[in-house]
Amino acid sequence: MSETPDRTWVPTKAMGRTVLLTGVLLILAALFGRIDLVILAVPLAVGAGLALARRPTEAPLVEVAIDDPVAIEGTPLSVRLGSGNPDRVGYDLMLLRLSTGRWVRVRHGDRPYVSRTQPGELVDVDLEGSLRRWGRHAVGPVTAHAVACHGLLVSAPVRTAPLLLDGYPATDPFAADEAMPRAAGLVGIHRSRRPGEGGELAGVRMFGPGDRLRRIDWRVSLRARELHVAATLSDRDAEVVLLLDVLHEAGRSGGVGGAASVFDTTVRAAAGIAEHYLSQGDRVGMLEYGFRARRLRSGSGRRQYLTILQWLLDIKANESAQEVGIGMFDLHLIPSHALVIVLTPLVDPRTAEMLARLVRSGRIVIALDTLGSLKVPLPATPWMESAYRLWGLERQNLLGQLGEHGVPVVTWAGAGSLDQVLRDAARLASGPRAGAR
Amino acid sequence: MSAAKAEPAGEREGTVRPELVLIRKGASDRVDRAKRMVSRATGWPLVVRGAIFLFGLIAQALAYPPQALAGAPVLALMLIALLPTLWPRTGFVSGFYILTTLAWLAATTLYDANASLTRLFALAAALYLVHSTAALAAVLPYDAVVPPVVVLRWLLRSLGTVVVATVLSAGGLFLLNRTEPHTYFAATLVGLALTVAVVGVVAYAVRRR
Repeated sequence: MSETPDRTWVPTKAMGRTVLLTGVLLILAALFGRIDLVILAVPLAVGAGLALARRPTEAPLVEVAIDDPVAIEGTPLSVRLGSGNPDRVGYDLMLLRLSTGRWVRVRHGDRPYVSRTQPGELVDVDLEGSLRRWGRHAVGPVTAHAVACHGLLVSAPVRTAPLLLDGYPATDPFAADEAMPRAAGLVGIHRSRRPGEGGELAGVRMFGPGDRLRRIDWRVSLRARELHVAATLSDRDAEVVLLLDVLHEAGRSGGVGGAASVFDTTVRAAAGIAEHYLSQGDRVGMLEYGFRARRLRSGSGRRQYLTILQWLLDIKANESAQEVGIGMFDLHLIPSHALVIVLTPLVDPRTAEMLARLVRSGRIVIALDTLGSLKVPLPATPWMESAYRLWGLERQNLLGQLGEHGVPVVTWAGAGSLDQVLRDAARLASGPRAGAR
Repeated sequence: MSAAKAEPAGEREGTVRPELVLIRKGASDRVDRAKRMVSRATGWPLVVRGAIFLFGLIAQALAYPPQALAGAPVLALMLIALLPTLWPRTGFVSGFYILTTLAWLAATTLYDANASLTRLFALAAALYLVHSTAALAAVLPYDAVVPPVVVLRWLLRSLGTVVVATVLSAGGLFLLNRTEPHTYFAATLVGLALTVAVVGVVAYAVRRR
């Protein structure tokens, strides 16, 4: 809906010019007795008289619409600008200007559009574009001016409220074939280490009380002359907690298909991992490592996936020199049996400390390095190269220390990124554990 | 002594250099802005600007004495016609109108140029078309996407106004010719009447504000 201004129509500079020139010419004509000066003034006076004979009184109408308030980054987008003339007098033209957020690209969207609206007529302008990055974006406001009376009157600007567009991240493809380190629930698709009703064969054993007849392995039983049954492992679900390090944003985002900032990688990877585990029937929860410490309880199913996507849109950098965790972020928010995947650029020692504490508490932790390429364009100064090399060495040192603490660090590379680490973690989890709680 | 002389020179260098840098930066910014405008400009707003220039040249050709329409003065006239073309939202349009009218007065009084009625009507039409197309260019951004019908209807309406004004002027002159030899007195009366009408328009404009 458009806002109606207080003063609807105002004279233009052409109106002032008409009055000035007509007055000057007529005064000169009267002073010097030059009838030709009157003739030079007549078109101006006649033009103004004809134009102002019928004047508009109503403000123009303008609206903006998008086909869907939710879009995935990189997908096409259709924006419709509507302009209308509720008056009984036609406008000479209407000028529409669309403002959009940085990541909403509309073809010719940065140009003003001119339309001519007759009385009681609505004119639509359809614009095609695309959404270039995840996040919450504004489409609009649209500002409209109407020009009437042959350019002598112009309407005050009419502005619409901006529309909000939720841009979901394009999920990076992710698949993990390996078993969950700790499958703990009652239902699910992961084979657990516990015997039970499932599809995964654990071995063949003697028939006992309570065994189902359909589990009897007749071939082995005939050979052994005693009843044997096929023992299976139970299928269990698991809980995955995605811990997002939002202490720092780094890099410059180029949108879909361009360079990815740390948050770009974090959000897209988190969406991909969540989609993968939720589609398997696991429970996925989210947690921010920052000063806001936002949290999303674990859940499963399609609804949880949509909630996670909405939750991801509100990620903001929480940069501060203070220590994280005093009353905000707490390790107790993370269940002890959950698989914790920490998405972090590993540029802050506070994150390394947090990872070490998580591992010491006995949780299965995997760190996903979201920093990506280290080739950052830096100002060319004599010391920059050395400083950059020193920083790289310090970071290598940090990664090494994390490895010593038992935190596997994996660089995010889409599908299969976590397979090796999950395999190792599952092997470790099957053994006895010793950890401070 | 030499040290005392060196100090002001150093100061002057220190103050002049930043100014030069600023001037150079300002100039390069303007060049970049002009390049950006040229790359973004669309067709129909350019056509409208071209129409201002064309009507401006026609008006000048009709207003100025023949002596001014040959040789170097033509370049000056083209430059003058460029002013309302490039800045239609400014006072250059009014200035062009008044300058051309003064040139007409000078041509018909000092240079004894041919002041035929046809030439006068054509001049009035050309000047009005400069004013009208400048009014359109003032509300039309240079990079706007414009349907051709908007511009064509505007020009047709301007031509209609010119026709009506010419007919009225011709009718008025015919009536005045019949009241000779009181031309001076009649012109004064008509002028005063039209001035009253203009005052009415001004009052209207003030009330609208």
